[in-house]
Amino acid sequence: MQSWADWLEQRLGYRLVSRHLRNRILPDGPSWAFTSASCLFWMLIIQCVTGLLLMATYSPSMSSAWASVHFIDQSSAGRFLRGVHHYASHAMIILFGIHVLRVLITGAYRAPRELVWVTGLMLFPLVIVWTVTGNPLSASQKGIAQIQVEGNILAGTPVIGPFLQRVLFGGEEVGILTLTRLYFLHVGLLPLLIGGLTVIHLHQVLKHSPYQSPTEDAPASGALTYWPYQSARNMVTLTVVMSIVGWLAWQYGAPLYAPADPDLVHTPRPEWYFRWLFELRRYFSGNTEFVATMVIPSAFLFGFMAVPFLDRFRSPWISTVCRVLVVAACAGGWGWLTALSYLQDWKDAGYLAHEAEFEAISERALVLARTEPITEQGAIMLLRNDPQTQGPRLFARHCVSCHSHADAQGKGLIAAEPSAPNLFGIGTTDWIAGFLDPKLASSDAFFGKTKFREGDMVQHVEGLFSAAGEEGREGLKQKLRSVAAALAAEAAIESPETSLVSAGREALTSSVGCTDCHRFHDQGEFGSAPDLTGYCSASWLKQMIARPTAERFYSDRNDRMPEFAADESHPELNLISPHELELLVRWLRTPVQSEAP
Amino acid sequence: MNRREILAWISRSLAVGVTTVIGLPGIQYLLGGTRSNGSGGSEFARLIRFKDLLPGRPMMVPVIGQKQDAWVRHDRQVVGRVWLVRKPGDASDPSAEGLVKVMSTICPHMGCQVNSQAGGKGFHCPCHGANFGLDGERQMDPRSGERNHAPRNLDPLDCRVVQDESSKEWWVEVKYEKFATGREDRVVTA
Repeated sequence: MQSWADWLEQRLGYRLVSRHLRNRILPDGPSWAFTSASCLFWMLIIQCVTGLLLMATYSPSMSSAWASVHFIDQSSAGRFLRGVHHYASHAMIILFGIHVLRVLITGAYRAPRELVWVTGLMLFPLVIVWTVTGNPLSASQKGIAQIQVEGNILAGTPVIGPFLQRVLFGGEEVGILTLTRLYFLHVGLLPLLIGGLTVIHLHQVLKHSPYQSPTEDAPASGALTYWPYQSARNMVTLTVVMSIVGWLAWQYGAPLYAPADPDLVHTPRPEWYFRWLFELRRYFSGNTEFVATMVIPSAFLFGFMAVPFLDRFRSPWISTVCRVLVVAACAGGWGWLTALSYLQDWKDAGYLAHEAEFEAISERALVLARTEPITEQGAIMLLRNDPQTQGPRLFARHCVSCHSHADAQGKGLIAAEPSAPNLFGIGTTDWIAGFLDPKLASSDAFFGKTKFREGDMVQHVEGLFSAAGEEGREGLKQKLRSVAAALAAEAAIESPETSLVSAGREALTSSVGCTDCHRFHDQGEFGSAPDLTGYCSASWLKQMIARPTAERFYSDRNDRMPEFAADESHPELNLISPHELELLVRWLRTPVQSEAP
Repeated sequence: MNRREILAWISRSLAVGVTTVIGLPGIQYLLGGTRSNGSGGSEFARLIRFKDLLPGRPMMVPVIGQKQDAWVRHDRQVVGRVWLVRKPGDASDPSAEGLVKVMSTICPHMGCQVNSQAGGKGFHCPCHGANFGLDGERQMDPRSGERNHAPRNLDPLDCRVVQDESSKEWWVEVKYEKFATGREDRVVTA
């Protein structure tokens, strides 16, 4: 073993370097304050290692990125590794901030160590950009929305902005090349730049270190050498930080939001470390905006870089006061703006509602990803093919200007000015029974705001009740209930009792007289009221929405309902596509959870 | 100039030359690289039947068009979205000037998608809280009380209402364009 080591030593001469590093003697002894630097260095290495491992599975394309990230989360240890990579990136930024402030407070930037300070400060924005280019790689809606805005901010830079944006997006806007560009920056260019600068930074640190380097092979006994006195402290700090990171990764994993889809509602907010700029820009607008996004951050960066050249105070006391004041002002200002920004959002009910909705959609995407296959079209189709997600959105887009879809407690989608029946529970016995109740039928939840309020249907039901009188009332109610059940059986959303259904079918064509106007299977005629055959079944609803003016439905008595898909030969010209219609109807027909009485 | 200086000069020049030969095409490649990601929006695209627009109720409609995205050409894709507002009033001639207003849904501030304000009174950007009226005019920001972050009004798009020859239906058509965000003047980007 020893001979091998000697053989290597003769060729590499590593013992000299190793001795130099280990046997350095710290003038003021080992310190916890110095551990931030070493901790940052090892975090950098950990980021490279975990990142490299993630690269083994990740696929940087719009159609497969989200799915591959989800795949990583599902594979053994993948979720943990991605979690570490994610939380460590945040930890690095915090540590970097602490490190910079520590160096500033101790005045460790003084000559001849100016370049230590300057290269360190150059690393800071690079590390930030490193995380910024990493966040959208999962191709989640949040990440893509963030990079879209960040790209626009970049484009706002005078003169070179549009060029920088082209490099970032691979074109004028986020597209097929954008993830590839982000990937190129995140795993290629930035690690090279950061690695190179780190080498220069560390070289400068060692070259101008205040440590004494004994040339002897063994340090004097009792000397507080770097190894193991400082190293032990470094490792303790690293272990504490990595324990927190590891625990977060183990407990929560890295977040994965819904796959990017221009159809999704999302209000992008920057990560916490940009919140101060987000807040700051509220005080600028229009053409001065780049002051907040570019001028102020660069002024801070260059101002900090100039500190070693500005700090020329004769009195060390004044210098210390100045440095402490600068640190306090920066930390305080940063904290104040950040807090203001979060406070602003916490007060904004609209934003909170958007966030909650987005969280729910993201949660849904993960549920779907576990149960539904992801096809070559990508994870974007998970939510696009999901009636539970698309139904309310399609309803909100096309229907809610007239119809509500709200339960008895008023929860759900509510029309600003309801002018057509509430469609909650459509096709159920209870809902159908509403049309057969003289009070409900003319209420706003049913025909109240339509021209049918005064129509034959309402009059007919009222007529039935007045003919039955007080004594026949309960019997009629029973009979109408059975009619509703018979129609609910046509809808087949719920399965009412068979005896009730057959009684209802009987009554429908005879004593209740539905088929006087409506058609029901081979009874009655089209032309004066909607067809009751297959009432509220999937195909009935689809045809009704597509063309309420068809003879089978309201023909020329249609109130105000638009034809959503009348043109069968040119589906692209319709208000709603066949696929959307399918989703909307499937959602409308989702059985409602009956509330416990 | 002695031999030493000449050789040094040659070495430097050659080093600069080699760097340039790789560097310049490298920069050109990153900056130019793709042709447009854009949406080829020089033609009018059909949006919606005129009769499906309710007066005074803003409606968001996707614009379907051709889109070149790096090496992929999408023939029928959503290239963007627009807000349509039909002014209340006489609609006997749907093609009357100014009866329908079509605006980009992209906030001129940072490019977020503006939503319809509750009650359909106008538009609201969820990112920095810019508000716009139904005609796309900037309105006061309720958060700060004075400032609206949008540098300009919502971008109006060239539109027309035309009658289909075979079906005799009136259709709203738009020439879809995208504009650079964060500046007071309108610069077409795609």
